[in-house]
Amino acid sequence: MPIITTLDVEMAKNKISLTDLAEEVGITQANLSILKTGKAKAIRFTTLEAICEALDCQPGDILKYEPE
Amino acid sequence: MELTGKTSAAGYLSKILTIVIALMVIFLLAGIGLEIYSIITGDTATLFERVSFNFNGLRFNVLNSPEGNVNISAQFKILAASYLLLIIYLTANLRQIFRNLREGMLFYHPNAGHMRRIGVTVIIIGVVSSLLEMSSAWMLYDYLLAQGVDVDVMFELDVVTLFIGVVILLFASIFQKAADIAEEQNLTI
Repeated sequence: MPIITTLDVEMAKNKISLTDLAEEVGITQANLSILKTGKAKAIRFTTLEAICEALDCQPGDILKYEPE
Repeated sequence: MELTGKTSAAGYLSKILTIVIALMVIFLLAGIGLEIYSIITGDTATLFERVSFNFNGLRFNVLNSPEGNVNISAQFKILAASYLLLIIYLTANLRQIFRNLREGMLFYHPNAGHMRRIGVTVIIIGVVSSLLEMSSAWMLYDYLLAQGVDVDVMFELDVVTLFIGVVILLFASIFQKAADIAEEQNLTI
């Protein structure tokens, strides 16, 4: 898929675990894992907003476009 | 009562269908066993003293024919066994759908697959049941001919069953699309 997530990089920078981030964002650990592993097909703006707030970053920091 | 879920109608129906499938399999195996026994022992006596057939909306009861009982032809036996196998296969697929519904999996790709298989099976059943009726009519034909009654045997395709099969295939494709949408929804974070 051309859109890849670099969520793990931002999580490492912030030294936050998957469990803590999921709790802060308000989604399940399973769903966050789906996003982190690149299996997600879409992301809601509300979720993106919550992640950016939790990790103090921009959407472009966690989403990248790499053409196939 | 809920339609889907653990204690739902789907749950009870799947259990009922399990019993129905088991009974049909036992019946089929008993028939095959009896046939093998007949072949080995050379005993060609028919199972029933009285045989009845449906043909073109009429029901014929054959009692005490001059030659003895009406012999069930090999063609009829093969068609009847095929018909029963198809019904078992259809019921097994239906049972699997109910089991998935019991687990709350409604718009689920395997359900669309099962429904597609049911649709194809119903179409084949439509053809086999028509052949079965014609085969039973041919058995009756010889008996009536011996009685001096002249009848015509015609092949009549069960169009209604074929149509139902096509409709089921249509619903299967709708369920496939619904499963695609549900999967996309599930993978939207």
